Amino acid sequence: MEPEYLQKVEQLYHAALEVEQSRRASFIDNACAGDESLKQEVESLLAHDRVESFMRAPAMEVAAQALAESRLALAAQSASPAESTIGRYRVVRLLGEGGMGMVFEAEQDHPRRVVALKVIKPGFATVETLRRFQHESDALGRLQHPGIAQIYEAGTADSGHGLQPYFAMELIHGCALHEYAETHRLNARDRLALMAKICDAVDHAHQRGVVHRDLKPGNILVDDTGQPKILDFGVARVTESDTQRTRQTGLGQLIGTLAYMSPEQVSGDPLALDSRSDVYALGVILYELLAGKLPYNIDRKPLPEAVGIIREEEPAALSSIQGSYRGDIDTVVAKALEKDKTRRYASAADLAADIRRYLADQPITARPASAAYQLRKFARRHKALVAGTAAVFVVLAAGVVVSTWEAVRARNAERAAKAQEETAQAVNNFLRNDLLAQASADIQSGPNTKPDPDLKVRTALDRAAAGITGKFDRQPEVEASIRETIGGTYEDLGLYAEATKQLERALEMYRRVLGADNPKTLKIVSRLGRTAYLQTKFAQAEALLSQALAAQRRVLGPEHPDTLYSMFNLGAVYESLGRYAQADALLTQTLEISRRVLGPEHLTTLAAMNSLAIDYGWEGKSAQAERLLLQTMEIERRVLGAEHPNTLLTTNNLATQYLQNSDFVQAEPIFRQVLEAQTRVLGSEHHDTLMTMINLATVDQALGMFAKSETLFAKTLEIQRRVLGPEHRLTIQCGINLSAVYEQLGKHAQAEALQSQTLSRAIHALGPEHPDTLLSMDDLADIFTSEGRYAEAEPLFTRTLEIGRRKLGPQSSTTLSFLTDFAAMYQRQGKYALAETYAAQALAGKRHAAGSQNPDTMSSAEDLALAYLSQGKFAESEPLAREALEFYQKNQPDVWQRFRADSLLGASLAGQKKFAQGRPLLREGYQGMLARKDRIAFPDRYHLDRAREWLK
Amino acid sequence: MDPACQQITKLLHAWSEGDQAALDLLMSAVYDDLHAMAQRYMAQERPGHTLQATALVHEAYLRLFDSALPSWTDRVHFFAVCARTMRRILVDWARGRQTLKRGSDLPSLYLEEVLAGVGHPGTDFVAVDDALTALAGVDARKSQVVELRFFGGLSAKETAEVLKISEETVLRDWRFSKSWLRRELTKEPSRGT
Repeated sequence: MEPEYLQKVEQLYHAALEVEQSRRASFIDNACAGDESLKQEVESLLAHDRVESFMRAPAMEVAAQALAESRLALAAQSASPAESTIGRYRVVRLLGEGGMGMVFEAEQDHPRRVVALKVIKPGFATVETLRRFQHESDALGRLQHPGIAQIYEAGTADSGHGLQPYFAMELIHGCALHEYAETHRLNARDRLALMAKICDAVDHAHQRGVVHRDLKPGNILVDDTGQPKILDFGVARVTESDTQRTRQTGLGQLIGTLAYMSPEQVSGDPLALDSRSDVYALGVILYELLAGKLPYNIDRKPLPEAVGIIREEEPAALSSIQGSYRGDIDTVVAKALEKDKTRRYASAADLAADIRRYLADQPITARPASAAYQLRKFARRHKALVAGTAAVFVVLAAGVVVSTWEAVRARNAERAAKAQEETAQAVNNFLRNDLLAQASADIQSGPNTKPDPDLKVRTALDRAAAGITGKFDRQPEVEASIRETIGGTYEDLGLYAEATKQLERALEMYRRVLGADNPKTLKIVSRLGRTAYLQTKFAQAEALLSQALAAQRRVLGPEHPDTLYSMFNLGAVYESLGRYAQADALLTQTLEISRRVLGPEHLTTLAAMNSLAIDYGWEGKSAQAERLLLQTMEIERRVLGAEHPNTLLTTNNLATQYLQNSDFVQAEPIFRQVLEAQTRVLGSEHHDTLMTMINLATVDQALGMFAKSETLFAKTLEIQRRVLGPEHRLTIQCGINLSAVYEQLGKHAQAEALQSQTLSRAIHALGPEHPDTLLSMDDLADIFTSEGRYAEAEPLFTRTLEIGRRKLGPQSSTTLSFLTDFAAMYQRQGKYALAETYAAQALAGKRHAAGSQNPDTMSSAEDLALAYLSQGKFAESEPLAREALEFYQKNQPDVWQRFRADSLLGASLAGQKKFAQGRPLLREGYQGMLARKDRIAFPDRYHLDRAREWLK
Repeated sequence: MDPACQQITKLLHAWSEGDQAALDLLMSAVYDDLHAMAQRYMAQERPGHTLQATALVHEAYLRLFDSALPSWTDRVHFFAVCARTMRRILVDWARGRQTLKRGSDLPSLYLEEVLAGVGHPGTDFVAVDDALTALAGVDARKSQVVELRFFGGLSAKETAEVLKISEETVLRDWRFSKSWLRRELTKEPSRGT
């Protein structure tokens, strides 16, 4: 045909199709204008137009479909072969069928015999398989042993349905091993003798370089002369490549085989297999033969758990199952079952020899394990299997895991997602849900799982992280995804530096493969921001989170969960930087959106509530903070559980709020409770636990239990320095507090040293205007004050006050405490007028922020009263002292501050010459304080001195 | 981009400018991978459910490149190479099968001997290949459309990109070519040795 002609034909073709069906014939007639061949051409083409089944799918699919169909047809046919010859064998009947092969009884003419003909189902052989098959049949031909079912011939035959590979084997009349033992009622000695024969056969093959790799009772027949015959020698290796086995066999059958697989075999490293793996299998078979059950119970266990058991769990000793097995036989079996293959029998022959020695009552070569080794084994047996599983499976990485999951997928033919995506999903799901979920503290504290504060999880993670390298070279998205998951788990465990490493690698990959604006990439950026925040690298955190947030707003919209995540974390960063107003705005917005879009019980909503509450706390809005925290806690208790780390954290925050309000009595038991739970659930070195420790110590400090407080702070500080680093915010806070306690105990030198050091760290790590830095500065100034170094104290106080007013607000409890301390300095210095001014300001502020019925406010009232007193303004001091005394008498009648109030009132009255009223109060006050001297902080001993003075 | 990818990209550009030798080199680069993947694909019990044929080409792409080729055009040309290669693989297989049917003694190591040849015209790839070659003699573009769509599994859009024609034209070519091929393939067999 000529191209031009074809064009013409084509044009007519398409034109005709545009014409309505009924008028088509006449249209063609007209268009062809008498050219019969042209008309014929067009009509014949139209006849084939749009036949649905033709080329309906890409060639591959069409072919594979046809192939699958014919396989089914063939399988149906083969089940009852009419007459069949395969090669030169005449099929008699079907003996059995497996996933990939069928076994027939067949007759051969030359030589004349009956054989077992194992055929691989057509279509199940692959090029790879067949190539191996050719290669292996030589080796198999060399195996000639009474204990091994002989292979006569291996070949391929054209059965009319295409090529079929087959091999002809010795046909054995007998039954499977366990059945034989049962029906013939073999006793222990008989079983052992049988086993020895099996070992002989296996050893024969080993000598000729053939490892079975799939020994199991199903592969061992015993004929009517009592001779065991091992089947499928080497065949397992030839006909079912490892990937095929896991894919075609399916999960259930895999687990069946699993029971006999050695620890190194389940670890998936093919290079680790040798004849000793067969020895192990023999050990399992022997155990089963003697005990009547398998050494481990892996029935119905999920695959990773089963693998863990094989690798970790010590089998119960035979003697524990049946007393008659005590002694040497126990040892023999144990040696065959050693996890460590170097401790096993080196060969099947050695095993057979020891069995025979035992039967002959001769000493065996195997020695029971030494005491030290026993101890180790004992410890191993009782290890938490969960973590054991983690250590194992993660090391497997891509190889076995992926193919196993492919088997599961193949079974549940579901969505037609891209293969690669499914792989990634599957691997990730596996890592996250089955494996690392057990590591994540969050899930550990759920109602059904037991926590594992063991650090084995850390080991598992480390190995996982190391094991990824190189396994996914061509699948960067998969690798990135896994690294992201592992990074997240490190974060859950509080190992922020490691988390950062993983996330950074993931980011690099995502950036490269998906681009900088891809949601996945952006999510990692914000996760890195969060991790930086948790390491108190606030500037970095702010940069990362702002960056991510801007892009996410643009790419995903302002209400996307990822965007909210960034917002809430950025809010937390602002809070940490002391930029409360900004934090407040952002967190309020986040909370509103989150509640609306994600729901009031969503984790992000709860986290936003928590952050916002903290922010309120810093701003002095304590009632709001408390309310919000209680709300959050209630939801968290209900949705996450009382011991979930998030719930505990919120509880800690609530107690901290009480602490800030000087409500120590309410705060202390809550802290204790939270600390106990966190230690149990998260471990004593987790970031959250340390935070609570500090808080509890602070409460103790406030309650005057200085020594207790000192111990707790010191302990915490040591851990924090080690785990979090000296510049972490928590470490700094702890340093501040410990130093304050030293000061309260009168240990000036220590206090000064520690506080100076902490201050410089704070300036460096948090910035010179950060609230924590200011606190440190204030405390240092306090130390100088109590040492009389007013010249050094004053500039510090001035600074803290100025910055505090500016950054925290004049009403902030922190700023007010600076005021108070400043006033105290002037008081000590003797500058009573200044003391009065500042004390008055502090009092007014506290009345406004916390109300009058508050110990801290009353303490300020006392300070002001003292300032008045010192200037002889007795009339002014009296009402304040009275107010304070009334408060303490009503609420806290036993604290030393109450007696201070007594003293102040007494002095005020005495100063107005009302000695009769005044003196008893002075006496009561002084004696009261004296009795409580140990609870009075050193710097406050000043008041005791004044009280004594007035008494004179 | 690593050197191997750079090399392939260069070849793709050369080919899209008409250098046929570049195509041969490209095909040999992807052949082994595609072959192995196709084999795996064929061995599935229910093909198409867990691994779609079109995914093979994408997977081949990913195996060779661990980062995106800079331009989508390059990607699409790569797919075209895969289509050509896939055609060769399938036809080779089919030929192997046919060799066997004639009773040769060669121990065949080829995979799909079992296609029972139940008379689906589209599965006799040798015949398809022949017919396509014939079509190419009269209208090269149509042959290419079929190759890309049927053997490569490319979408109409991707095909249009490779051939630098409109999607509409692709669809028209496709429709016509299928009719033409089916007619050829259902004629009385006159295939010789």
